[in-house]
Amino acid sequence: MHGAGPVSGITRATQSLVPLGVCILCIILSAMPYGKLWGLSISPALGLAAVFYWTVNRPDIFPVWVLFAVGLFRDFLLGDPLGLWTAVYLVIYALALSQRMLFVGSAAHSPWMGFALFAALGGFLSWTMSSLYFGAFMPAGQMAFQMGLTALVYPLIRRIFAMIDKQLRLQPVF
Amino acid sequence: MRYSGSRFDRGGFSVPGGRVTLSFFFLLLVAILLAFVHRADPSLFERWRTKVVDVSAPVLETVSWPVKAVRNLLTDLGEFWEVYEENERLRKQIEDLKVWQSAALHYERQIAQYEKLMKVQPLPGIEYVTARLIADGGSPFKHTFILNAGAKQGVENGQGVVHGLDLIGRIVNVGQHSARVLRVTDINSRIPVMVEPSRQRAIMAGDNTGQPKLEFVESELDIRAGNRVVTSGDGGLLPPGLPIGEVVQQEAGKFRVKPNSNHNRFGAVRVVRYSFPVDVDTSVGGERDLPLGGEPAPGTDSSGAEDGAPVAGPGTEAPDETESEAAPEEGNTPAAAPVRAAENRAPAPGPAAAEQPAETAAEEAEPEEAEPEEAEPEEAEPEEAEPEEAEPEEAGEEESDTGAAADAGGADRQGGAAADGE
Repeated sequence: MHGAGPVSGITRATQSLVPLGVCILCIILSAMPYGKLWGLSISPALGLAAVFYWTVNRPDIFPVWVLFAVGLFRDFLLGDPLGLWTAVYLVIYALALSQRMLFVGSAAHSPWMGFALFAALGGFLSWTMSSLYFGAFMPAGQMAFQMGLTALVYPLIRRIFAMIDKQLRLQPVF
Repeated sequence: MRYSGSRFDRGGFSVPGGRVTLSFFFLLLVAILLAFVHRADPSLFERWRTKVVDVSAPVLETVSWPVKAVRNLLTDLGEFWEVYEENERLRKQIEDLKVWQSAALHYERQIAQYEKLMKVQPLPGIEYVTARLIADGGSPFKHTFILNAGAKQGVENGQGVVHGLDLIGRIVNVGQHSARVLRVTDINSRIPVMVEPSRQRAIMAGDNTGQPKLEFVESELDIRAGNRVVTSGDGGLLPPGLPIGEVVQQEAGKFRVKPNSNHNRFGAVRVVRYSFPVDVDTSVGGERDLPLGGEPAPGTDSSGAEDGAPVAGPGTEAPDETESEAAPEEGNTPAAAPVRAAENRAPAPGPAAAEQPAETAAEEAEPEEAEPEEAEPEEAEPEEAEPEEAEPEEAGEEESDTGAAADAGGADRQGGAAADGE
Protein backbone atom coordinates (compact mmCIF):
# COMPACT_ATOMS: atom_id res chain seq x y z
CA MET A 1 0.00 0.00 0.00
CA HIS A 2 2.79 2.39 0.74
CA GLY A 3 4.34 4.18 -2.14
CA ALA A 4 7.99 4.99 -2.40
CA GLY A 5 7.86 8.50 -3.86
CA PRO A 6 8.10 11.86 -2.15
CA VAL A 7 4.31 12.03 -1.79
CA SER A 8 4.25 8.99 0.44
CA GLY A 9 7.01 10.57 2.51
CA ILE A 10 4.82 13.60 3.09
CA THR A 11 1.92 11.39 3.97
CA ARG A 12 3.95 9.46 6.45
CA ALA A 13 5.23 12.65 8.01
CA THR A 14 1.68 13.90 8.26
CA GLN A 15 0.59 10.63 9.77
CA SER A 16 3.34 10.99 12.35
CA LEU A 17 1.43 13.94 13.70
CA VAL A 18 -1.31 11.61 14.87
CA PRO A 19 0.75 9.63 17.42
CA LEU A 20 2.45 12.88 18.38
CA GLY A 21 -0.92 14.51 19.05
CA VAL A 22 -2.24 11.45 20.86
CA CYS A 23 0.84 11.29 23.09
CA ILE A 24 0.61 15.01 23.91
CA LEU A 25 -3.08 14.68 24.70
CA CYS A 26 -2.34 11.71 26.95
CA ILE A 27 0.31 13.69 28.80
CA ILE A 28 -2.12 16.58 29.27
CA LEU A 29 -4.77 14.15 30.51
CA SER A 30 -2.34 12.59 32.95
CA ALA A 31 -1.75 16.05 34.41
CA MET A 32 -5.38 16.55 35.31
CA PRO A 33 -6.21 16.98 38.98
CA TYR A 34 -8.00 13.70 39.54
CA GLY A 35 -7.59 13.79 43.28
CA LYS A 36 -6.29 11.15 45.61
CA LEU A 37 -7.01 7.59 46.52
CA TRP A 38 -5.62 6.12 49.74
CA GLY A 39 -3.48 9.21 50.08
CA LEU A 40 -1.83 8.71 46.70
CA SER A 41 -2.39 10.94 43.68
CA ILE A 42 -4.39 9.36 40.92
CA SER A 43 -2.37 10.20 37.88
CA PRO A 44 -1.94 7.32 35.44
CA ALA A 45 1.11 7.60 33.20
CA LEU A 46 -0.95 7.82 30.04
CA GLY A 47 2.00 9.21 28.14
CA LEU A 48 3.96 6.03 28.74
CA ALA A 49 0.99 3.93 27.62
CA ALA A 50 0.73 5.94 24.39
CA VAL A 51 4.46 5.66 23.75
CA PHE A 52 4.33 1.90 24.24
CA TYR A 53 1.32 1.44 21.95
CA TRP A 54 2.59 3.48 19.04
CA THR A 55 6.10 2.03 19.32
CA VAL A 56 4.83 -1.52 19.21
CA ASN A 57 2.06 -1.08 16.68
CA ARG A 58 3.06 1.76 14.38
CA PRO A 59 6.77 2.38 14.50
CA ASP A 60 6.59 3.45 10.86
CA ILE A 61 4.76 6.65 11.82
CA PHE A 62 6.33 6.99 15.24
CA PRO A 63 9.97 7.86 14.63
CA VAL A 64 12.40 8.42 17.43
CA TRP A 65 12.45 12.20 17.04
CA VAL A 66 8.68 12.32 17.62
CA LEU A 67 9.25 10.34 20.78
CA PHE A 68 12.00 12.73 21.82
CA ALA A 69 9.64 15.69 21.33
CA VAL A 70 6.96 13.94 23.38
CA GLY A 71 9.42 13.29 26.20
CA LEU A 72 10.61 16.88 26.22
CA PHE A 73 7.05 18.15 26.25
CA ARG A 74 6.28 15.94 29.24
CA ASP A 75 9.31 17.14 31.17
CA PHE A 76 8.54 20.76 30.41
CA LEU A 77 4.86 20.56 31.26
CA LEU A 78 4.92 18.41 34.36
CA GLY A 79 7.93 20.11 35.89
CA ASP A 80 10.18 17.07 36.06
CA PRO A 81 13.91 17.43 35.62
CA LEU A 82 14.48 18.11 31.96
CA GLY A 83 15.53 15.01 30.03
CA LEU A 84 14.54 12.54 32.73
CA TRP A 85 11.38 11.14 31.20
CA THR A 86 12.73 11.75 27.71
CA ALA A 87 15.51 9.29 28.48
CA VAL A 88 13.04 6.84 30.03
CA TYR A 89 10.81 7.00 26.96
CA LEU A 90 13.80 6.43 24.70
CA VAL A 91 14.89 3.32 26.60
CA ILE A 92 11.34 1.98 26.61
CA TYR A 93 11.12 2.74 22.89
CA ALA A 94 14.28 0.83 22.13
CA LEU A 95 13.35 -2.22 24.19
CA ALA A 96 9.73 -2.30 23.05
CA LEU A 97 10.83 -2.00 19.43
CA SER A 98 13.21 -4.92 19.82
CA GLN A 99 10.46 -7.10 21.31
CA ARG A 100 7.49 -5.86 19.33
CA MET A 101 6.87 -9.14 17.53
CA LEU A 102 5.88 -10.65 20.86
CA PHE A 103 3.03 -8.17 21.20
CA VAL A 104 1.82 -7.63 17.64
CA GLY A 105 -0.92 -9.95 16.50
CA SER A 106 -0.78 -12.13 19.60
CA ALA A 107 -3.50 -12.85 22.15
CA ALA A 108 -5.14 -9.87 23.84
CA HIS A 109 -3.56 -10.47 27.24
CA SER A 110 -0.06 -10.53 25.79
CA PRO A 111 0.18 -6.79 25.07
CA TRP A 112 -1.30 -6.08 28.47
CA MET A 113 1.24 -8.17 30.30
CA GLY A 114 3.93 -6.78 28.08
CA PHE A 115 2.90 -3.25 28.96
CA ALA A 116 2.76 -4.10 32.66
CA LEU A 117 6.37 -5.27 32.43
CA PHE A 118 7.43 -2.17 30.55
CA ALA A 119 5.54 0.08 32.97
CA ALA A 120 7.40 -1.54 35.85
CA LEU A 121 10.65 -1.04 34.00
CA GLY A 122 9.80 2.59 33.23
CA GLY A 123 8.89 3.20 36.86
CA PHE A 124 12.12 1.65 38.06
CA LEU A 125 14.19 3.65 35.56
CA SER A 126 12.56 6.94 36.46
CA TRP A 127 12.90 6.20 40.18
CA THR A 128 16.59 5.40 39.75
CA MET A 129 17.26 8.46 37.64
CA SER A 130 15.31 10.73 39.98
CA SER A 131 17.16 9.38 42.99
CA LEU A 132 20.46 10.02 41.23
CA TYR A 133 19.33 13.44 40.11
CA PHE A 134 18.19 14.60 43.54
CA GLY A 135 20.90 12.72 45.42
CA ALA A 136 18.41 11.01 47.71
CA PHE A 137 16.23 7.92 47.60
CA MET A 138 12.83 8.93 46.32
CA PRO A 139 9.72 7.40 47.87
CA ALA A 140 8.77 4.54 45.56
CA GLY A 141 5.16 4.10 46.72
CA GLN A 142 3.64 6.81 44.52
CA MET A 143 5.53 5.56 41.49
CA ALA A 144 4.46 1.95 42.07
CA PHE A 145 0.87 3.11 42.49
CA GLN A 146 1.02 5.19 39.32
CA MET A 147 2.44 2.38 37.23
CA GLY A 148 -0.01 -0.18 38.67
CA LEU A 149 -2.88 2.15 37.87
CA THR A 150 -1.58 2.71 34.35
CA ALA A 151 -1.29 -1.03 33.76
CA LEU A 152 -4.86 -1.45 34.99
CA VAL A 153 -6.31 1.10 32.60
CA TYR A 154 -4.11 0.10 29.68
CA PRO A 155 -6.60 -2.35 28.06
CA LEU A 156 -9.15 0.46 27.88
CA ILE A 157 -6.68 2.99 26.52
CA ARG A 158 -5.38 0.45 24.05
CA ARG A 159 -8.85 0.07 22.58
CA ILE A 160 -9.06 3.80 21.99
CA PHE A 161 -5.61 3.85 20.42
CA ALA A 162 -6.54 0.88 18.22
CA MET A 163 -9.62 2.73 16.98
CA ILE A 164 -7.52 5.72 15.99
CA ASP A 165 -4.98 3.42 14.40
CA LYS A 166 -7.72 1.69 12.43
CA GLN A 167 -8.97 5.00 11.08
CA LEU A 168 -5.44 5.88 10.06
CA ARG A 169 -5.03 2.64 8.17
CA LEU A 170 -8.26 3.21 6.29
CA GLN A 171 -6.96 6.45 4.86
CA PRO A 172 -5.74 6.11 1.27
CA VAL A 173 -2.01 6.30 0.92
CA PHE A 174 -0.63 8.01 -2.15
CA MET B 1 -2.01 -5.79 13.09
CA ARG B 2 0.61 -6.36 10.49
CA TYR B 3 1.09 -3.93 7.70
CA SER B 4 3.10 -4.19 4.56
CA GLY B 5 5.84 -2.07 3.21
CA SER B 6 7.33 -1.03 6.50
CA ARG B 7 10.96 -1.60 7.23
CA PHE B 8 9.94 -2.40 10.81
CA ASP B 9 7.88 -5.40 9.83
CA ARG B 10 10.50 -7.88 10.79
CA GLY B 11 10.74 -6.39 14.24
CA GLY B 12 13.86 -6.08 16.28
CA PHE B 13 15.77 -3.02 17.25
CA SER B 14 18.61 -3.77 14.91
CA VAL B 15 16.36 -4.00 11.88
CA PRO B 16 15.89 -0.33 11.23
CA GLY B 17 19.59 -0.10 10.62
CA GLY B 18 22.28 2.22 11.68
CA ARG B 19 20.33 5.37 10.94
CA VAL B 20 17.73 4.91 13.61
CA THR B 21 20.21 3.38 16.00
CA LEU B 22 22.47 6.37 15.67
CA SER B 23 19.54 8.74 16.02
CA PHE B 24 18.42 6.85 19.07
CA PHE B 25 21.80 6.97 20.79
CA PHE B 26 22.27 10.57 19.81
CA LEU B 27 18.91 11.60 21.25
CA LEU B 28 19.47 9.52 24.38
CA LEU B 29 22.77 11.27 24.84
CA VAL B 30 21.08 14.64 24.38
CA ALA B 31 18.41 13.73 26.95
CA ILE B 32 21.00 12.71 29.53
CA LEU B 33 23.03 15.81 28.78
CA LEU B 34 19.94 17.96 29.25
CA ALA B 35 19.39 16.37 32.65
CA PHE B 36 22.95 17.18 33.68
CA VAL B 37 22.72 20.77 32.43
CA HIS B 38 19.36 21.22 34.10
CA ARG B 39 20.79 19.90 37.33
CA ALA B 40 23.68 22.35 37.12
CA ASP B 41 21.54 25.36 36.32
CA PRO B 42 17.76 24.89 36.38
CA SER B 43 17.17 28.51 35.42
CA LEU B 44 18.56 27.88 31.93
CA PHE B 45 15.38 26.24 30.73
CA GLU B 46 12.84 27.99 32.93
CA ARG B 47 11.89 30.43 30.19
CA TRP B 48 11.08 27.55 27.86
CA ARG B 49 9.23 25.70 30.54
CA THR B 50 7.16 28.80 31.20
CA LYS B 51 6.39 29.13 27.50
CA VAL B 52 5.25 25.52 27.23
CA VAL B 53 3.02 25.85 30.29
CA ASP B 54 1.63 29.17 29.07
CA VAL B 55 0.79 27.75 25.65
CA SER B 56 -0.74 24.63 27.19
CA ALA B 57 -2.72 26.53 29.83
CA PRO B 58 -5.89 27.12 27.76
CA VAL B 59 -5.95 23.43 26.77
CA LEU B 60 -5.32 22.36 30.35
CA GLU B 61 -8.08 24.63 31.59
CA THR B 62 -10.56 23.35 29.03
CA VAL B 63 -9.76 19.71 29.65
CA SER B 64 -9.79 20.12 33.41
CA TRP B 65 -13.42 21.28 33.51
CA PRO B 66 -15.07 17.92 32.81
CA VAL B 67 -12.49 16.12 34.93
CA LYS B 68 -13.25 18.35 37.87
CA ALA B 69 -16.98 18.15 37.31
CA VAL B 70 -16.87 14.36 37.39
CA ARG B 71 -14.53 14.32 40.38
CA ASN B 72 -16.70 16.74 42.31
CA LEU B 73 -19.82 14.79 41.44
CA LEU B 74 -18.27 11.57 42.70
CA THR B 75 -16.98 13.25 45.84
CA ASP B 76 -20.35 14.85 46.51
CA LEU B 77 -22.12 11.56 46.01
CA GLY B 78 -19.73 9.91 48.42
CA GLU B 79 -20.30 12.61 51.00
CA PHE B 80 -24.06 12.55 50.59
CA TRP B 81 -24.30 9.48 52.79
CA GLU B 82 -22.45 11.23 55.57
CA VAL B 83 -24.41 14.45 55.43
CA TYR B 84 -26.23 13.87 58.72
CA GLU B 85 -23.05 13.18 60.71
CA GLU B 86 -21.35 16.08 58.95
CA ASN B 87 -24.19 18.38 59.89
CA GLU B 88 -23.95 17.39 63.54
CA ARG B 89 -20.21 17.83 63.52
CA LEU B 90 -20.46 21.25 61.93
CA ARG B 91 -23.08 22.38 64.45
CA LYS B 92 -20.75 21.46 67.27
CA GLN B 93 -17.88 23.16 65.52
CA ILE B 94 -19.90 26.34 65.14
CA GLU B 95 -20.59 26.36 68.87
CA ASP B 96 -16.90 25.99 69.59
CA LEU B 97 -15.99 28.64 67.06
CA LYS B 98 -18.39 31.14 68.60
CA VAL B 99 -16.29 30.98 71.75
CA TRP B 100 -13.17 31.49 69.68
CA GLN B 101 -14.76 34.32 67.76
CA SER B 102 -15.68 36.12 70.95
CA ALA B 103 -12.14 35.75 72.24
CA ALA B 104 -10.68 36.77 68.89
CA LEU B 105 -12.75 39.93 68.65
CA HIS B 106 -11.79 40.89 72.17
CA TYR B 107 -8.10 40.35 71.56
CA GLU B 108 -8.24 42.02 68.20
CA ARG B 109 -9.39 45.22 69.86
CA GLN B 110 -6.88 44.80 72.65
CA ILE B 111 -4.01 44.18 70.26
CA ALA B 112 -4.99 47.18 68.17
CA GLN B 113 -4.84 49.33 71.29
CA TYR B 114 -1.49 47.96 72.36
CA GLU B 115 -0.11 48.46 68.87
CA LYS B 116 -1.32 52.01 68.92
CA LEU B 117 0.25 52.62 72.31
CA MET B 118 3.52 51.07 71.25
CA LYS B 119 3.37 52.82 67.91
CA VAL B 120 4.01 49.55 66.18
CA GLN B 121 4.85 49.83 62.53
CA PRO B 122 2.03 47.87 60.92
CA LEU B 123 2.81 45.16 58.44
CA PRO B 124 1.53 45.81 54.96
CA GLY B 125 -1.82 44.34 54.16
CA ILE B 126 -1.99 41.16 52.17
CA GLU B 127 -3.75 40.94 48.88
CA TYR B 128 -4.88 37.73 47.29
CA VAL B 129 -5.22 36.53 43.75
CA THR B 130 -7.71 33.72 43.46
CA ALA B 131 -6.81 31.11 40.87
CA ARG B 132 -7.99 27.75 39.74
CA LEU B 133 -5.86 24.64 39.69
CA ILE B 134 -5.78 23.54 36.06
CA ALA B 135 -3.17 20.79 36.17
CA ASP B 136 -1.70 18.59 38.80
CA GLY B 137 1.92 17.64 38.52
CA GLY B 138 1.14 14.05 37.72
CA SER B 139 4.69 13.18 38.60
CA PRO B 140 5.62 11.14 41.67
CA PHE B 141 8.93 12.95 41.95
CA LYS B 142 7.84 16.51 41.49
CA HIS B 143 5.06 17.87 43.63
CA THR B 144 3.84 20.81 41.62
CA PHE B 145 0.62 22.06 40.13
CA ILE B 146 -0.35 24.74 37.65
CA LEU B 147 -2.68 27.68 38.23
CA ASN B 148 -4.61 29.69 35.65
CA ALA B 149 -3.24 33.01 36.88
CA GLY B 150 0.08 34.54 35.95
CA ALA B 151 1.98 37.78 35.68
CA LYS B 152 -1.01 39.50 34.09
CA GLN B 153 -2.98 38.85 37.25
CA GLY B 154 -0.17 40.07 39.49
CA VAL B 155 1.37 36.72 40.39
CA GLU B 156 5.11 36.78 41.03
CA ASN B 157 7.82 34.28 41.81
CA GLY B 158 8.16 33.35 45.46
CA GLN B 159 4.64 34.26 46.50
CA GLY B 160 2.86 31.85 48.81
CA VAL B 161 -0.22 29.90 47.83
CA VAL B 162 -2.91 29.16 50.37
CA HIS B 163 -5.91 26.90 50.42
CA GLY B 164 -8.33 28.45 52.83
CA LEU B 165 -5.83 29.92 55.24
CA ASP B 166 -3.31 27.11 55.03
CA LEU B 167 -0.09 27.46 53.10
CA ILE B 168 0.23 24.72 50.49
CA GLY B 169 3.12 25.93 48.37
CA ARG B 170 4.78 28.82 46.65
CA ILE B 171 5.09 30.11 43.13
CA VAL B 172 8.24 29.00 41.34
CA ASN B 173 7.49 29.78 37.74
CA VAL B 174 5.30 32.50 36.30
CA GLY B 175 3.99 32.83 32.79
CA GLN B 176 1.65 35.46 31.42
CA HIS B 177 -1.52 33.57 32.31
CA SER B 178 -0.26 30.60 34.27
CA ALA B 179 1.99 29.84 37.19
CA ARG B 180 3.58 26.73 38.63
CA VAL B 181 3.29 26.10 42.33
CA LEU B 182 5.85 24.06 44.23
CA ARG B 183 4.09 22.20 47.02
CA VAL B 184 5.47 22.32 50.52
CA THR B 185 5.97 18.56 50.24
CA ASP B 186 8.29 18.72 47.22
CA ILE B 187 11.91 17.77 47.72
CA ASN B 188 13.01 21.25 46.64
CA SER B 189 10.72 23.08 49.04
CA ARG B 190 12.22 24.89 52.04
CA ILE B 191 9.97 27.09 54.15
CA PRO B 192 11.08 29.01 57.25
CA VAL B 193 8.55 28.12 59.92
CA MET B 194 7.78 28.66 63.57
CA VAL B 195 6.38 26.04 65.91
CA GLU B 196 3.76 27.30 68.32
CA PRO B 197 3.41 27.82 71.19
CA SER B 198 7.14 27.52 71.89
CA ARG B 199 7.91 29.81 68.91
CA GLN B 200 10.79 27.62 67.87
CA ARG B 201 12.18 28.57 64.49
CA ALA B 202 12.91 25.81 62.01
CA ILE B 203 13.06 25.03 58.33
CA MET B 204 10.37 22.83 56.89
CA ALA B 205 11.97 20.72 54.19
CA GLY B 206 9.96 18.64 51.76
CA ASP B 207 11.19 15.20 50.76
CA ASN B 208 8.43 14.11 48.38
CA THR B 209 6.56 12.35 51.15
CA GLY B 210 3.23 13.64 52.41
CA GLN B 211 4.82 15.03 55.57
CA PRO B 212 7.78 17.42 55.26
CA LYS B 213 10.63 17.30 57.78
CA LEU B 214 11.44 19.92 60.37
CA GLU B 215 15.12 20.79 60.14
CA PHE B 216 17.43 23.14 62.01
CA VAL B 217 15.21 23.18 65.07
CA GLU B 218 16.55 25.46 67.78
CA SER B 219 15.51 23.28 70.70
CA GLU B 220 13.91 19.92 70.06
CA LEU B 221 12.84 19.63 73.69
CA ASP B 222 10.33 22.43 73.27
CA ILE B 223 8.49 20.78 70.41
CA ARG B 224 5.64 18.37 70.95
CA ALA B 225 3.49 16.34 68.61
CA GLY B 226 0.38 18.31 67.77
CA ASN B 227 2.08 21.70 68.00
CA ARG B 228 0.97 24.16 65.38
CA VAL B 229 3.35 25.06 62.56
CA VAL B 230 3.09 28.47 60.90
CA THR B 231 5.30 30.50 58.60
CA SER B 232 7.89 32.53 60.46
CA GLY B 233 8.15 35.27 57.87
CA ASP B 234 11.94 34.99 57.84
CA GLY B 235 13.35 36.01 54.51
CA GLY B 236 10.43 38.29 53.80
CA LEU B 237 8.87 36.25 50.99
CA LEU B 238 5.97 34.92 53.01
CA PRO B 239 4.03 36.76 55.67
CA PRO B 240 4.48 35.43 59.19
CA GLY B 241 1.70 33.44 60.78
CA LEU B 242 0.28 31.52 57.83
CA PRO B 243 -0.78 28.16 59.20
CA ILE B 244 0.76 25.09 57.56
CA GLY B 245 0.05 22.07 59.69
CA GLU B 246 0.87 20.34 62.92
CA VAL B 247 3.91 18.56 64.26
CA VAL B 248 4.11 14.79 64.04
CA GLN B 249 6.87 13.09 65.94
CA GLN B 250 8.56 10.42 63.90
CA GLU B 251 11.14 9.31 66.41
CA ALA B 252 13.03 10.94 69.24
CA GLY B 253 14.23 14.35 68.10
CA LYS B 254 12.90 13.98 64.57
CA PHE B 255 9.78 15.82 63.62
CA ARG B 256 7.61 16.08 60.60
CA VAL B 257 4.74 18.35 59.68
CA LYS B 258 1.34 17.04 58.74
CA PRO B 259 -0.12 19.68 56.39
CA ASN B 260 -3.59 20.96 57.25
CA SER B 261 -4.95 21.19 53.77
CA ASN B 262 -6.45 18.22 52.07
CA HIS B 263 -5.04 18.07 48.57
CA ASN B 264 -7.99 16.04 47.39
CA ARG B 265 -10.32 19.00 47.75
CA PHE B 266 -8.35 21.65 45.93
CA GLY B 267 -10.43 23.60 43.49
CA ALA B 268 -9.53 27.22 43.82
CA VAL B 269 -6.54 28.50 45.75
CA ARG B 270 -5.26 31.96 46.57
CA VAL B 271 -1.89 33.46 45.81
CA VAL B 272 -0.63 35.62 48.65
CA ARG B 273 0.60 38.96 47.39
CA TYR B 274 2.77 40.09 50.21
CA SER B 275 5.54 42.61 49.96
CA PHE B 276 8.11 42.81 52.68
CA PRO B 277 8.05 46.24 54.33
CA VAL B 278 11.23 47.73 52.97
CA ASP B 279 10.25 51.36 53.12
CA VAL B 280 9.69 51.85 56.81
CA ASP B 281 7.80 54.93 57.80
CA THR B 282 10.19 56.39 60.36
CA SER B 283 7.74 59.06 61.41
CA VAL B 284 5.79 56.36 63.24
CA GLY B 285 7.51 54.80 66.23
CA GLY B 286 10.96 56.13 66.93
CA GLU B 287 13.78 55.96 69.34
CA ARG B 288 11.45 56.50 72.26
CA ASP B 289 10.28 52.91 71.97
CA LEU B 290 13.69 51.33 72.16
CA PRO B 291 14.26 51.43 75.89
CA LEU B 292 10.92 49.76 76.57
CA GLY B 293 12.23 46.25 76.86
CA GLY B 294 15.93 46.79 76.49
CA GLU B 295 17.46 44.03 74.45
CA PRO B 296 15.50 41.60 72.36
CA ALA B 297 14.18 38.57 74.16
CA PRO B 298 16.49 35.60 74.51
CA GLY B 299 15.96 33.03 71.85
CA THR B 300 14.72 35.55 69.37
CA ASP B 301 16.66 36.28 66.26
CA SER B 302 16.79 39.02 63.78
CA SER B 303 16.35 37.21 60.58
CA GLY B 304 16.36 40.36 58.59
CA ALA B 305 19.84 41.05 59.77
CA GLU B 306 20.87 37.54 58.84
CA ASP B 307 19.52 37.86 55.39
CA GLY B 308 20.84 41.32 54.99
CA ALA B 309 17.29 42.48 54.55
CA PRO B 310 15.90 45.46 56.41
CA VAL B 311 13.57 44.70 59.25
CA ALA B 312 10.59 46.76 60.12
CA GLY B 313 9.78 47.35 63.74
CA PRO B 314 9.56 49.99 66.37
CA GLY B 315 12.70 51.98 66.58
CA THR B 316 13.82 51.02 63.14
CA GLU B 317 14.99 54.21 61.60
CA ALA B 318 16.57 53.14 58.41
CA PRO B 319 17.23 49.82 56.77
CA ASP B 320 20.98 50.31 56.85
CA GLU B 321 21.09 50.71 60.56
CA THR B 322 19.26 47.50 61.22
CA GLU B 323 21.96 45.46 59.56
CA SER B 324 24.62 46.29 62.04
CA GLU B 325 22.60 45.65 65.15
CA ALA B 326 20.26 42.91 66.19
CA ALA B 327 17.21 44.91 65.36
CA PRO B 328 13.86 43.78 66.65
CA GLU B 329 11.92 41.94 64.02
CA GLU B 330 8.17 42.07 63.80
CA GLY B 331 7.24 39.65 66.53
CA ASN B 332 10.53 40.19 68.29
CA THR B 333 9.96 43.68 69.52
CA PRO B 334 11.46 44.40 72.91
CA ALA B 335 8.06 44.93 74.41
CA ALA B 336 7.01 41.55 73.12
CA ALA B 337 9.70 39.81 75.13
CA PRO B 338 7.56 39.23 78.22
CA VAL B 339 4.78 38.02 75.99
CA ARG B 340 7.14 35.57 74.32
CA ALA B 341 8.45 34.33 77.63
CA ALA B 342 4.95 33.88 78.95
CA GLU B 343 3.83 32.01 75.85
CA ASN B 344 6.68 29.56 76.16
CA ARG B 345 5.27 28.42 79.46
CA ALA B 346 1.69 28.39 78.35
CA PRO B 347 -0.14 25.23 77.41
CA ALA B 348 -1.44 24.83 73.89
CA PRO B 349 -4.60 26.83 73.43
CA GLY B 350 -7.86 24.99 73.10
CA PRO B 351 -11.52 25.75 73.15
CA ALA B 352 -11.66 25.19 76.89
CA ALA B 353 -8.89 27.66 77.43
CA ALA B 354 -10.65 30.14 75.24
CA GLU B 355 -13.73 30.18 77.36
CA GLN B 356 -12.03 31.97 80.17
CA PRO B 357 -10.79 34.92 78.14
CA ALA B 358 -14.17 35.21 76.54
CA GLU B 359 -15.81 35.48 79.93
CA THR B 360 -13.21 37.77 81.35
CA ALA B 361 -13.60 39.88 78.27
CA ALA B 362 -17.19 40.48 79.17
CA GLU B 363 -16.30 41.17 82.78
CA GLU B 364 -13.48 43.53 81.99
CA ALA B 365 -15.83 45.21 79.58
CA GLU B 366 -15.41 48.64 78.15
CA PRO B 367 -13.74 50.84 80.77
CA GLU B 368 -10.40 49.12 80.59
CA GLU B 369 -10.48 49.00 76.85
CA ALA B 370 -11.46 52.61 76.51
CA GLU B 371 -8.97 53.93 79.00
CA PRO B 372 -5.69 53.41 77.17
CA GLU B 373 -6.77 55.61 74.32
CA GLU B 374 -7.18 58.55 76.63
CA ALA B 375 -4.38 57.67 78.96
CA GLU B 376 -0.80 58.69 78.51
CA PRO B 377 1.30 55.99 76.84
CA GLU B 378 3.80 56.12 79.69
CA GLU B 379 1.08 55.26 82.16
CA ALA B 380 -0.33 52.48 80.12
CA GLU B 381 2.96 50.81 79.26
CA PRO B 382 3.62 49.28 82.65
CA GLU B 383 0.19 47.69 82.49
CA GLU B 384 1.09 45.55 79.54
CA ALA B 385 4.43 44.58 81.00
CA GLU B 386 2.94 43.82 84.37
CA PRO B 387 1.14 40.50 83.90
CA GLU B 388 4.26 38.39 83.83
CA GLU B 389 5.57 39.77 87.05
CA ALA B 390 2.25 39.76 88.83
CA GLU B 391 0.59 36.54 87.69
CA PRO B 392 2.71 34.75 85.16
CA GLU B 393 0.43 31.78 84.65
CA GLU B 394 -2.59 33.84 83.84
CA ALA B 395 -0.61 36.05 81.61
CA GLY B 396 0.84 33.12 79.79
CA GLU B 397 -2.51 31.58 79.18
CA GLU B 398 -4.02 34.79 78.09
CA GLU B 399 -1.24 35.72 75.72
CA SER B 400 -1.09 32.25 74.29
CA ASP B 401 -4.73 32.50 73.46
CA THR B 402 -4.12 35.85 71.96
CA GLY B 403 -1.86 34.46 69.33
CA ALA B 404 -4.09 31.57 68.44
CA ALA B 405 -7.28 33.53 68.41
CA ALA B 406 -5.77 36.27 66.40
CA ASP B 407 -4.46 33.72 63.94
CA ALA B 408 -7.89 32.35 63.39
CA GLY B 409 -9.55 35.62 62.86
CA GLY B 410 -6.88 37.95 61.69
CA ALA B 411 -4.65 36.09 59.30
CA ASP B 412 -6.91 36.77 56.39
CA ARG B 413 -7.03 40.42 57.24
CA GLN B 414 -3.48 41.28 57.99
CA GLY B 415 -1.52 38.07 58.04
CA GLY B 416 1.45 38.20 60.25
CA ALA B 417 0.73 41.15 62.46
CA ALA B 418 -2.45 39.66 63.72
CA ALA B 419 -1.13 36.14 63.73
CA ASP B 420 1.82 37.02 65.86
CA GLY B 421 -0.44 38.70 68.28
CA GLU B 422 1.51 41.89 68.35
